[in-house]
Amino acid sequence: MKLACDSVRENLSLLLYGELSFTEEEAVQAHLQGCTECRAALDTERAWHDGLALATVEPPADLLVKCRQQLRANLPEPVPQNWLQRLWRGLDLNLNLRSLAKPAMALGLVAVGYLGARLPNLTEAPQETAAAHVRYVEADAAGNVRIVLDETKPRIVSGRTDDPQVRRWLLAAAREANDPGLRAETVALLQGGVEAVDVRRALVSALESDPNPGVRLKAIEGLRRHAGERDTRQALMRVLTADENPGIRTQAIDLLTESGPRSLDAQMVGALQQLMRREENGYVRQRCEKALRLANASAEIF
Amino acid sequence: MLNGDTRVALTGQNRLAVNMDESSLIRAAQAGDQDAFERLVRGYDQSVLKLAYSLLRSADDAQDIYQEAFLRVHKNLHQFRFDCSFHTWLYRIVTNLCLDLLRKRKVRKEESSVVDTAEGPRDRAELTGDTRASIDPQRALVSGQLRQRIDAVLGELTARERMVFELRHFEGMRLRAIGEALGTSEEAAKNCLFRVTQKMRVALGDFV
Repeated sequence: MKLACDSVRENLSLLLYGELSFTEEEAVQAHLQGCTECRAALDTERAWHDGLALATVEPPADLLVKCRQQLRANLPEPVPQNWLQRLWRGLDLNLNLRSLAKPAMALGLVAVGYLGARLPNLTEAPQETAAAHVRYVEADAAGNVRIVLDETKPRIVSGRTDDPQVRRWLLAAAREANDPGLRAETVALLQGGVEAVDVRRALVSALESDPNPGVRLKAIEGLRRHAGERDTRQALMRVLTADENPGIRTQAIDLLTESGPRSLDAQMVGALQQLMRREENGYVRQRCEKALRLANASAEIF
Repeated sequence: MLNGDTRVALTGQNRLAVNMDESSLIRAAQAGDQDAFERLVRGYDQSVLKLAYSLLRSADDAQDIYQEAFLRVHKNLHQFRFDCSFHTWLYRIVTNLCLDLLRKRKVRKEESSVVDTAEGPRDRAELTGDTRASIDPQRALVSGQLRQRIDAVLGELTARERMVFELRHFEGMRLRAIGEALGTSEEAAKNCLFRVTQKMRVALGDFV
């Protein structure tokens, strides 16, 4: 029996990871049903797994953006598509005498440019910088081809962050950007404007619905000064039971209780008791219990 | 912060509307389409950076791994023949780079107790994954002690053990995929994880 217990306990982590074979898991589960001590050991095992979740570190929010910029700068230049660029590139790469030829070529290019400006555009190449993808192509009987492109043209909007137009785009980016690094950066930028109702709403929305925990953490930091307001409190209480990240649930408890016992009204106590019923993370439970003690409330719902 | 100058680059909605699957993206990138390559990178780069940062606990090192990994992908993408998933191929590159660096650190014993954070360098022991520990000193103390114990165990692991644990526990990868990424069997990865959990249990079992 003792040997069986030892063997079961050694495999508890693999059980929690779901990495035991079907037969192994069946044997462990069967043993756990009849062994109180091993069930207690499983609780301990789960608790240190949870403790590790609190020890995770996230890269600084701006690091992803920096990495992408650096990568873009380090990638080799794409092969030029324009005939003039191809000519220049060919000369630049292949001619050993290019240092001597360059002044003459430069003069030649000036002349080509001067004449080119006076001639009709023969190439039909796009004149603006744009990323394009071919959506479809079709040919007719006469041998003409029709190509439909999806084009993306970059546009820069500059200004101070309280500029209404900049603010509008920041709010849109916080909601819609596909890139979590960009959303995190945008939410961080919006933190300073949290006095504005639309910014606060955007932060609440990011806190409740953004799939990325880094973005949600930025949002909850931004809402700190307004944790006493009704809408923010309601959102924080929803986060308590809905957010899958224990770090964010812990932050929500702290924000909701940092004003001391006076912030712990009946609704808040109810929310914390609700959390106690379903919370599996040992550390979050500990924080929750502490908050309930502060409110002189029971950790259980009777 | 708000009231500072900001530049917002708008890329338009139609960029998102083009829905290429991953194989098409890879083929386009193999044919030299830089935009396809960038979109391919963006599908994975956040998890690559998170893995590198979590393993190396240094923004500079994580940035170096990111650059080197994706530059290697760019250079060797034409050799990718779809005989494994792109994820597996990429993670082979990333895990090899991280393992090399972890091994070098072990040899030099240069693992620093100082960790780069968004707020600047901080001692590892202070890091709890909670950016507002100052609100509650008791919480900071308990979390700090836990962190120290975890770091002590992590510091004792071999580079390979560390990698397997990181990929399984924090990245949620299955042992089979970890084996493929590390060029070993699922069984070997399982044995490795088994050893790590034994060490963790001894170090943390009485703490929780």
